[in-house]
Amino acid sequence: MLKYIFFSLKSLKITLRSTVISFILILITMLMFNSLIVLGQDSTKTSSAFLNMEDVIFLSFSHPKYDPDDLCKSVPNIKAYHKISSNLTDIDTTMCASLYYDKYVLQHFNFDLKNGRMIKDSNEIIITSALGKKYKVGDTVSIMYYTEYQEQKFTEKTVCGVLSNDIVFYSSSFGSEITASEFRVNLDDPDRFIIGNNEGCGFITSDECFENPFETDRSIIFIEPERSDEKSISDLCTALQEFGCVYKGADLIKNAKNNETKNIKDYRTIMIALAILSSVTLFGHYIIDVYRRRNEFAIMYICGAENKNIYAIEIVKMIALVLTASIIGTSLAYLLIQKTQHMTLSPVGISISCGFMLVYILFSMLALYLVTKKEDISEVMKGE
Amino acid sequence: MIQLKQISMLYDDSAKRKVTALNNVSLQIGKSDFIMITGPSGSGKSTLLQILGCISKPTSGQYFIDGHNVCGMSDREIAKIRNSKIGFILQNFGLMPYRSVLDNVQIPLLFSKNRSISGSVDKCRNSLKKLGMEQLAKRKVWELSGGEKQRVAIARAIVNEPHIILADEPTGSLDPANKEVIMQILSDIHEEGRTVVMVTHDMSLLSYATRVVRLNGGTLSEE
Repeated sequence: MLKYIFFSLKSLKITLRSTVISFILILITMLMFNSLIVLGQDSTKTSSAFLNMEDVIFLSFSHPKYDPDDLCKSVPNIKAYHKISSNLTDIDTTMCASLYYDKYVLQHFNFDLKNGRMIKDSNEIIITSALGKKYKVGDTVSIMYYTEYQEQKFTEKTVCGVLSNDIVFYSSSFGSEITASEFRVNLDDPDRFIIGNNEGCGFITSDECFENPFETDRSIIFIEPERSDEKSISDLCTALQEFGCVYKGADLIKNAKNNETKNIKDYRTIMIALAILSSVTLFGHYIIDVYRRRNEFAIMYICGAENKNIYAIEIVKMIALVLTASIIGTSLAYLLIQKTQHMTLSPVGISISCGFMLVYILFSMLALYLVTKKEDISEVMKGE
Repeated sequence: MIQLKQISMLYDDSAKRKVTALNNVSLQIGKSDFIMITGPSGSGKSTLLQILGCISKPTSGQYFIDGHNVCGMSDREIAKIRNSKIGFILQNFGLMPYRSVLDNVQIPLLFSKNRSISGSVDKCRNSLKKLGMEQLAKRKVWELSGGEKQRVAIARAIVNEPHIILADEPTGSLDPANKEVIMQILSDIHEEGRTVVMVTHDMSLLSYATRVVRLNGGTLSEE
C-alpha cells in the first residue's frame, strides 16, 4: 500500500497542470458550498438579542414643539414607556452604535448569559459572544466615548458576563431610522444602561460612569404593549404619525431580515451558479483526464495490475487532492464570511464538505470504471 | 513450459462480421527457446502474442503455462502470472512519458507482493545497470531517444525476473544501429536462460532465433 501512496502522490506532481486545475475547481466548489451554507444560516437563524421585540412599538419623532414625554403622558392607559438615546463609543477599537436604555427596556431583550452574571455595579460589563472569543469573565476592556463637548474619554470595565448572543440587534434592524439619528437621553432616569452594537462586537454596561452626551431634539419612545391598552397605543400612534415615524418591532425585525438577506440573495445566486459550474467542470475535467490516461492504465495492466490496483492508485491520489483542497476551501470560506458575518464553523458545512468529497470520489471512480471496463487493453496498446 | 492447444480467436470487425484471427493454433515453447513469429500484416501475430501474454483470452482452445491452464484462471491469478512470469516489450515502448525512467521500470514491482520500496529501487537500478542505463534513472522518458526508450522498456520487462519475455516488433521503431543493440540485449536475455518470443516483420533478424514460426491467415506453420 505504501508503494501505491508514493506512486499516486508522484502522479499529482507529474500531472501538475491537471492537479492544479482540479485543486482550484475543488477549492472554488468548497468555497461556494460553505459560503452558501453560512449565508443560508444567517438569513434563517440569528442569535440577535433583539428578536423578542416583535410586539414592541417604537415611536420616533423630532417635532420641536412637542415633548414626547408630554404626548405619552397625555394619552390615558399608556402605563409604561421608556426612552432610548444614542451615542458612539469604541470598544476593542471597534466603533459601536451605542443606545442608551433604561432598565425596563433592557428586560425586553432576549439576552442569554453563557458565562458569568448580569451587571451589579457600574464598572462591570457584559459582552456578546463575538467579543467573548477575545475576552473572558474577569478581564478588563477599555471603552472610548465622547462627552457632550465632543471630548474623547476612556473608561475601563471588568467583564462580568458573556452572552451566548452573537449580536445585540441586526446591523440593519433600525437602519438609518435609528442608528444614524441623534436621540435625546432621558436625563431624569437614574438607572440607565448603554448597549453598544456593531458587527463583530457588542456590550451592555451601566451608563453611570459615562459623562452625559449632548441632548438632541429627536427621541425614540419604546412602549411596553403588555402594560398598555391596545387602543391607546393605536391612538397614540395615529396622533404621532404626522410628527414622526411609528415602527412595530415585528416590522423592524422583518425589515432588518429583508435588508440582511437582500444582498445575500444576489450573492447566493452567483454562488449557486459558480458551485454548479465548478462541480460540473471538475467532473468533466476528471472524465477527460481519465480518458486521456487510458494508455497509462493499459501499461499498468500489462505489467500485472488488476483493476482494483488501478482504482487504489487513483483513490489515494484523489483523496490527497480533494482533502487538501476541501480543507483549504472550507477554511477560506469561513474566514471570509467571519470577516463580515462573524459566523462560526457549522457541522452542516463540514458534513456537506465531506459529502461532496465522497460524491466526487464515487463519481470519479465510476468514470474510471467505465473507461477501464470499456477499453480493450490490446486496442489501446496497438493505438499508442 | 508454454503450450497452446487448438487456440482459436474470433472477433467482430467494424461491420459486426466475425473475423478469424487465429485458427486452431497449437504451439509448444520450451524453456530455452528464442522464437520468432513472422507473417504478413493481419496474420494474427500480435493476437497470438496477446494470448501468450495473458492480455486476451482465446475464443476456444487451451493455454498452459508451467502445466497450469490459464484459460480456467481467475482475473487475479492471470494478473499474477502477467506480473511474475511474463515481461512485455512493445514496438512503441509502452512507457509513461512524463514519469522518470526509474518510475517506469518500477511499475511491475508495484503490483508484486512482498517487495519493499527500498528493495524495489535497488532491483530497478540493477536492471537499468544491466542495460547501461543507470545514469539515466532520474531522466524523464520523453527526453530519451528511441533506442534508450526501448532499453528502458526491456529493463522494465526483466525487473521482476520473469521466465518469459514477449516482444512485439521491438525494433520496429528503431534505426539499424539501435536495432542491433536491442537484438543483442534480447539475445543476452535468452542466454541467461529466459524464453523469448518475438513478433517481427524483419527477416534480417531471424538469425537470432532458435525457432521461427510463420502465421498466415491465422494458421501456424513452423519453418
